[in-house]
Amino acid sequence: MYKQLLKQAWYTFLESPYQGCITILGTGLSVSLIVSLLMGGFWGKMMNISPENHRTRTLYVKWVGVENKETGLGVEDGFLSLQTIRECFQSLETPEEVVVTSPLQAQIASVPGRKQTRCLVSFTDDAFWRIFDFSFLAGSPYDKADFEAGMRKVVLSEDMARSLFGDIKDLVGKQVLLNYHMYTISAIVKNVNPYLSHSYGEAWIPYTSTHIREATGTEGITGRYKCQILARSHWDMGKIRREVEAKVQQYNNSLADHRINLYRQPDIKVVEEDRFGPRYPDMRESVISNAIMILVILLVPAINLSGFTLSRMRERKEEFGVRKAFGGTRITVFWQVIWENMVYSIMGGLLAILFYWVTTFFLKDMVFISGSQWGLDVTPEVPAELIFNPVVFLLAFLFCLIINLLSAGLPAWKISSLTVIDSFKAD
Amino acid sequence: MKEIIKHIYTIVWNQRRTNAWLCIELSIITVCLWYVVDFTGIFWWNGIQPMGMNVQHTYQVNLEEKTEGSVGYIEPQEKSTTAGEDILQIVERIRQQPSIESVSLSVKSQPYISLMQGGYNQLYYEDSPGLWARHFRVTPSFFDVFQVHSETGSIDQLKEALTRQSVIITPDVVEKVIGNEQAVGRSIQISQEGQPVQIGAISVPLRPTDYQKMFPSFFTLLTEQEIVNEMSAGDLMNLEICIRVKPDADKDYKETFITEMAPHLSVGNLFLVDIRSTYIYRERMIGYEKALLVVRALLLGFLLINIFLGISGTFSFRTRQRRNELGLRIAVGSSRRNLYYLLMLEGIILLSLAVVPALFINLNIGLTELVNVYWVDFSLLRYIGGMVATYVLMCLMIISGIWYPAYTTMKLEPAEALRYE
Repeated sequence: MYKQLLKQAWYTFLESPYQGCITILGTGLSVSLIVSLLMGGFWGKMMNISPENHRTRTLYVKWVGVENKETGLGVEDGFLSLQTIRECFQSLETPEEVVVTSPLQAQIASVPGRKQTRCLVSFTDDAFWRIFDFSFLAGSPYDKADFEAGMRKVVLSEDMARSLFGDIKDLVGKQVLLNYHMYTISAIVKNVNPYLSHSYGEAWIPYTSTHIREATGTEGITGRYKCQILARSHWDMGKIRREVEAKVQQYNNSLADHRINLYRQPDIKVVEEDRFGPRYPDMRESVISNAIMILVILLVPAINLSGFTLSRMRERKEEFGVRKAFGGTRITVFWQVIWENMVYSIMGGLLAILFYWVTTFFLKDMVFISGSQWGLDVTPEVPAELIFNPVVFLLAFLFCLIINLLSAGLPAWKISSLTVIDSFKAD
Repeated sequence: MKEIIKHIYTIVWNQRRTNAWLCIELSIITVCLWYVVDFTGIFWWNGIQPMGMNVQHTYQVNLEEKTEGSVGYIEPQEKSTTAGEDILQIVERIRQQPSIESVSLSVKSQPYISLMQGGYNQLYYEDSPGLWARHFRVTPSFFDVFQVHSETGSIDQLKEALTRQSVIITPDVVEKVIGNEQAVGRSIQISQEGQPVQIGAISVPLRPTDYQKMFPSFFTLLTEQEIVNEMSAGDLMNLEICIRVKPDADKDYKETFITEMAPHLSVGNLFLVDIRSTYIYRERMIGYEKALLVVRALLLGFLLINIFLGISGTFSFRTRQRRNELGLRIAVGSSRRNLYYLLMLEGIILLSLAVVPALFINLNIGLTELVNVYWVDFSLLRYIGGMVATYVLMCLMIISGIWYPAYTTMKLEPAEALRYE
């Protein structure tokens, strides 16, 4: 059955290769656009990508707004201070971990007797190493005791270690200067893709080991830190939010003249990616506009292609007439047309995956740059997880199916409703 | 030629019922395509207009201060210079490097990045209401670094005109506050409490980014005295050191600068920590617009391909249905080449007929400002340019859509074509 179907489709293709190519190309283009849109704009923003292997159950907080208690007017917006994080998030009981980090900074890294280099330093705590799965090439990261004591220990990325020392052998325990402060290397890890803005860095140090200039904000609410809350499971997120609300209430009561506004944080990953400023991003609008876009991208080619299918099938109406004359039902004819067209659609789908790969590499600077890396000199890479992902194949197949039904459904219905006599009548 | 067109016109008229539908379809497509072409074209046009500053080969140099406990830290009691004096000395050392063309100091003035921090102030002239304008606080070499010219095209004129008692303004400030009179030499007041200062010169108009309309701006002098007195190490973030590198030295300049030059440039507790090309900030500031442009261009491409699909489908259907007519034509002596022209010309005449209502609809869309007028006003030039581009694109699509069906029909033997009769 399938063999015959393929044979038939192949002969139809040979009969009018021009129309066949256009059908495949049209399907391929629109499916690839849809897949890129969904992967780059949606799925890529929420899926787990190594070493950020728990993005789907992590909540993010980076902004805080300060409001006057009496007037209710906003005073300032900023990142969080350690005090705010301690009161509102580190005291939570439901989460598995709460991680505190400070944004990347450029520093000068040097080793006595060698050339100095610029290094992007990330400031973290010890929990950071537990929620991200870095692959360690040597050594182990700083632990809770090191962190609390403010030990000058550093974890270097493979590339940074290479540019400082020339190779990465036996580096653990050696010393390196960061902004002219002496640090001891405790581990070397594999490079991280800059797209993963929460784990990316070229060197990681405990934030207790350095002097991060705290913004002297109102009542010590704003500062230079952000935090990530790892839930035990996805289902705990609601509970955590409720707990955060209670903690914020407590914190507000302890403040004299001001109260804080978290602008609907903690965020899930996809919201966090879209939140460039402090305000809640308009997620509803972005979902609606994307949905409309997908609808247009689906419908326009489907309408065009249905014309093609119809004219192709009209030419073969005698054949369908024969089928019917020998006992074929309307349903068999209908499905024959749909299945034949499906062969085209699937070829279009394969082409779509190819297009998707090409456009992803072509547009990587736009898609895979994170708003939190403003003004940093980093070039993102395309995460392998987004390239060889079963979801890509699944989406491509699904939308091929939809386009196929849209573009072949009506012609198939029309052709299959012709009576045997009509099928043999000349135009 | 005239006869052929007349002949085709008769053919089109004789089949007016089917052709009317085709015309309406083409009209609608023309309107849609024009809208997208107009949007994409204006976007692109806007992006290539001069911004008033040249950021090629320019970099920002970032300083950092050593803190207690670091190697080479100088205790405050042992230090005889202020941070401001150290900065000036570093700038002097940078200036002496052979690869450097010029160095400038500024506050909230660097292209692109200063938009985030925003240095704005109100300008008053006589009793006019205040005009919000961007405030550039710069040393005169800023004009060298970013190649800001005066209205007459000279950089030196601006450098000389910028003094403690003078200000340099852009032409749109002149237009909005002073009017048609001679502006240079008149006095203007910065902010409500400020002292009057003289207008020293007029620069070219400035745009905040490559995609925004020009914005009123003015320059005041940042003196060395101010840097020495006002700057402490805590304010390092506010002070911008910008450099212009000689074009032939600008290869892998970041690495060379940090590894080879930076170690020799530190003074006191200050050291050079990073150097960033202005392009990095540019990419980020116009990233949204650029992404939008790419999306629009993709959408335009997608639309073009689909219009091509539609037209090609329609015309192949049409040509196939008229196979007997074409066979007849060949039988009575029409050459294949002529037949080919006939089909093409017919398509183009149909399009031209369809464009007439589209012209009218588009003009109305433009006049009611349903098109984007945020970047460029809707003008006759824009309307005509957009329509011509749309027409050419539609023609190309019709020609390529007709080509293949016409080609296959032309290969037919007349007898075979007539068989359908």
